[in-house]
Amino acid sequence: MTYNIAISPAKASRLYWLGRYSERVCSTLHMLHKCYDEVVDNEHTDVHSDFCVRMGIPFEYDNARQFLKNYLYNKEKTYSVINMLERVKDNAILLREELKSESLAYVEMAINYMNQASMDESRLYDLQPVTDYLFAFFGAIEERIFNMDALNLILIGKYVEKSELYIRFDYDLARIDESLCRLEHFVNVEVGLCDDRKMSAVRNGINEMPMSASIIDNLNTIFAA
Amino acid sequence: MVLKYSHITVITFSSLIHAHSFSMRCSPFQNSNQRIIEENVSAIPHCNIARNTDSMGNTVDYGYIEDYHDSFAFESRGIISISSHISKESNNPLFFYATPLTSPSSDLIYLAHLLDARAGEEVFIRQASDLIHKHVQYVSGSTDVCTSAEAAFAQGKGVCQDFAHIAICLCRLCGISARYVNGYMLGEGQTHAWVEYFIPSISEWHAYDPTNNRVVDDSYIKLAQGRDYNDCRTNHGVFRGDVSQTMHVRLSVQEVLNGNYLYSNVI
Amino acid sequence: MYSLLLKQTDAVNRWMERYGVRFGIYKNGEFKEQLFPFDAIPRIISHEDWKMLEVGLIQRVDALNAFLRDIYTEKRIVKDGIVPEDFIYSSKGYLPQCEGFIPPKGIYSHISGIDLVQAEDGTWYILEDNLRIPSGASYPMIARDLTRKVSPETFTDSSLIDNRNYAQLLRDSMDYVNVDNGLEVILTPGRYNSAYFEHSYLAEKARVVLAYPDDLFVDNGYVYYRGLNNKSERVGVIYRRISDEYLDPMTFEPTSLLGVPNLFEAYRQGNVAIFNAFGNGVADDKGIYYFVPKMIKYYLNEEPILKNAPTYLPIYEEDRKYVLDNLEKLVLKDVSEAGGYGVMFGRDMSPEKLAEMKHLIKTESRRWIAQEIINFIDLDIIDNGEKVKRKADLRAFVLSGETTRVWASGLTRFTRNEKSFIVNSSQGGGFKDTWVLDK
Repeated sequence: MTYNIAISPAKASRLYWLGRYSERVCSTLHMLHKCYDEVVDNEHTDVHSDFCVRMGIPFEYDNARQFLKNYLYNKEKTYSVINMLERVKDNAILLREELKSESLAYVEMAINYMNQASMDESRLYDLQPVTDYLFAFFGAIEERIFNMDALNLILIGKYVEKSELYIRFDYDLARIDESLCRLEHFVNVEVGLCDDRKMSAVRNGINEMPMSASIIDNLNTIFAA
Repeated sequence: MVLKYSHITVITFSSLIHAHSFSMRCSPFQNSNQRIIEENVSAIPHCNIARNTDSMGNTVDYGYIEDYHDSFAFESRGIISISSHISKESNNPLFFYATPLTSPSSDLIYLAHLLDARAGEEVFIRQASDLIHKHVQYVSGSTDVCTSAEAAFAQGKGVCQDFAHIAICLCRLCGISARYVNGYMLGEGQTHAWVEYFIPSISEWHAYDPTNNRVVDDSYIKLAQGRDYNDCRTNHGVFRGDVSQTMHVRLSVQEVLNGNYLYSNVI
Repeated sequence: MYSLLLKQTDAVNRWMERYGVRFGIYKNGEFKEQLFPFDAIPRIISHEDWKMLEVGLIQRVDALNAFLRDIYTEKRIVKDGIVPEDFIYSSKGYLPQCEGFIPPKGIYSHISGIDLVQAEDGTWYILEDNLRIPSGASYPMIARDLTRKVSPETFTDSSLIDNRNYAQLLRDSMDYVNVDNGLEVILTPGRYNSAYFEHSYLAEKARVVLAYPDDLFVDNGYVYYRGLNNKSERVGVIYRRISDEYLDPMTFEPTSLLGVPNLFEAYRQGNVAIFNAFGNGVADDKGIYYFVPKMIKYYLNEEPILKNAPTYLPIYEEDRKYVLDNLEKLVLKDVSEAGGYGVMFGRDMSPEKLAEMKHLIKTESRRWIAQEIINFIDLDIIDNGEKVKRKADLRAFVLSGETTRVWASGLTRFTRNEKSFIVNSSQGGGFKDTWVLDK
């Protein structure tokens, strides 16, 4: 039995965006938990405005609760978590033969759970299974993808996304660097598909204070298919 | 007759296009009537040109240009010696069934009743051609490649393609197998179309030019044959890009005398 | 045998949902994905029946392949007066572009989906042959996987043939016709095709590349898969799930965006195998169906093992008279329609409709075939917790390669609606696993 290893540019792009969106859902839920920890102490905090600014999305709700409901479940908003999860599915469903049905099932389950949660207007806390399913998905693909280029492309997307969010949310330099370091590993393996000069520019750039906006632009264009 | 031909198709796009596939039927038909002395096809931008023979026996030159470009040129040129346009070949029922471009209207069915196939196919085709000329006027630009025999006949105007389609329709209505032929004609600046019809008693296909109402002789070069125009399209392309396009064709067909086969460089 | 499994029906359906086992439908112009409802009561085919079906199906598909080869080359069957000439040349499925060409290894129909029903007296009848893009194998594939998972006890001592070899059969057939050991791909029109799940699932299980139209291109007479870093790979076989007319805009429908330009030329040069071949529609035309038993005699010099439903062609005077006199008890089919459309029952027609159809049968006799209605065996299904009877058919999958093989399984589809006689997933309905006994 031979393995087919060909990946078309369109497929490469799906793999990359699958990595980005699935990481975005996981990280966003994580960031939201952190932000909303503050609401426990102060109902009237404007923590959500800070969150919106950092995420680069419009700030359009009066209070934190209203924001959270829309941010999680409003299908009309491209930035909502439920929509990002749909983007995960859009890419994943076109990659069944690469991901394998058993892995794809975790995306199906995350979506089904999220849709039910949306109908029940579940609290943020109740969305832990979405994160769990996505982590199971990441584990499953590492087990089941035999084409290393395909797996690397997903992981490049994942670590681009993670690094970008860490930068946006002012994480410790050490944490950002850890994430970039993992990204750099895959960039070096897939050197024909990625721009290693941009990678170096990003790693050097995080040490400058204040960080320049071009870091995020460079990060977003490291992979160019 | 020995003929030298050069057929250049230039397509200009309003902006850049890419992933461009093309398919051309503008190289001479290969049979014993047409002896090819020299023959060449080329394209700009340069690319691989593959050659195939389709189910009708036509030569197809096709290729692919991945990179961005805003114009495309294709040249087919050569020197060919033509003996006649009569071919000893069996009938093919494929050329007996109507196609959308050659299906009859009630007017055409009525017209067919005025003709008598019993006089013999050669007489029939002349009569049919005479009759077409009584009803249809040659007006250049009056129809396009999608115009059916029925529509051209109804408007009473057409070009060579329409004369051929109507003649084919009448032949088939009267029980004669007929096919569409696309080609070059000495002194003509554009591709021409005529018909071939089958004579069962001698098992031969003969050619007739209904547009000029004359028998096709050795000053014609046959390129492609088919059930109708659609089987013989000289060029066809698919590409990516949202553009408008203009096409220019430069065709020259000259007689070569004294074995002087030298080319002038045209492209 | 299957009582334990019945208790697990919900579990099976939950697993189906988990695996995204769906098919798409268009309702009011909108694309929707539906689960394909699974009924846990299997259709059980006895060993004796299967032996007969297997031999009969191989015989039928071999004859159909011989017919396709003959039609696109010598046309002996027409010259010998068995099939009327106009049934070929005026068939929508006949492609003159295929004239004179024999595909790699001479195979036209690599996967044939033959639809059968069993009459109340136990006789099996062929309903129709699908030689273009028969779909549906993925559903019984996944159903067996899941039922074994949720109810292993059911399978421990049952004597049924393991059907989990479909992907291997498919792969064997693809390998056999592969030109120059090139890349093997399944070509899908994309996510919004009703059978997209199947395309991606078969690619996964057969371990071949799932390609979208833009992934392929033809250069210098060969088909390539567009790879990364401008490294393209030569393609040797394309299991295409796009119909003939959309597959190459240079040769067929010029406005098609689903096609691969110049694919047909590469195919005609013998540089790639197309799986199933172009032009097969001429052999699974509802009108040609009538002639299949004659083909078996003509090409194989054998008596047909499987019966056609009694069929009448109104172009023949004797048949036309019978149809006009008996339309009330017959089923009338429009030969140009597919997928369960254009099927009408005489007994459901109003007097006006009957008169209208009789007129059409006289004026457009080539357009229709009429068949006797077979009272076929209804199968038990569970509907809202109760056992009820429903109409069902069986699509058997026959794969042609080095030899012709029948998959010891099939897609059993049933109607949800009690009154409906038309079994087709595009018109609602569910499916069952099909158990073939090995003794």
